[in-house]
Amino acid sequence: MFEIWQEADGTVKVSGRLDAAMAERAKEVFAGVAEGCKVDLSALDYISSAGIGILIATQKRLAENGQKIVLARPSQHIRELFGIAGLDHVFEIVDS
Amino acid sequence: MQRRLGRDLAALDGLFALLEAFCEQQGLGGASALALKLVTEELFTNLVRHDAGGGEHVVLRLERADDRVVVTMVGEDAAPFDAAEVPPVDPRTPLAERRAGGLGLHLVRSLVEELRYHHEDRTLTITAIMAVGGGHV
Repeated sequence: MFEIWQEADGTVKVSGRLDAAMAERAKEVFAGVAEGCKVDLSALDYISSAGIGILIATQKRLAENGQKIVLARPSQHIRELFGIAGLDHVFEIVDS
Repeated sequence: MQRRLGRDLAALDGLFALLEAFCEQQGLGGASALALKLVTEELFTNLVRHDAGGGEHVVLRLERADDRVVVTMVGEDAAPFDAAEVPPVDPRTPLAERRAGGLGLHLVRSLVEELRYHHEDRTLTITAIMAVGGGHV
């Protein structure tokens, strides 16, 4: 099961399995992100290239206005996957 | 384990159900399970997206051979495709120069020991061989 929502403080929360079939829902939510914010990945179980591509596209769009998203609390395995994808070069990844 | 799936992203629930059952049967968890799911999904979505005129079904087979898992995907009535012809993605590319596409195959190449594509009689067979740990990580 996949869920994504933006909280009142701007934090985007993502949980469950973000696969290619769920990517459109994630894309819609991230399209509404207009300012830099934290993306809480603590409840994310799985992500593939479709979801990673949305994170990169969002970061790229926000960077045009000097803004950025920060990826927070991914699991160790997802963090390793982000390393393979080179996300550690384009995102700040934090543990809190 | 083997399952015939519709060649459609809506079939991903069935694909993950098979992967979950296989991981449980084989005692695979953590990084091994994540890598197996990722490789299988990426190969499947490639088949769905890059061959619009292809057949309606894909057969997915998962096999364990000692400390390796063999993922075999057979696309019916499929156009030729060979991942070796797709240029590699440099994960160190700066944000402003990043382009969509190629990331899924980059992840697959990074996670498998061997990736083979064979096309014959309009049937595309993709074989990925991965090293896996025993037990949950």
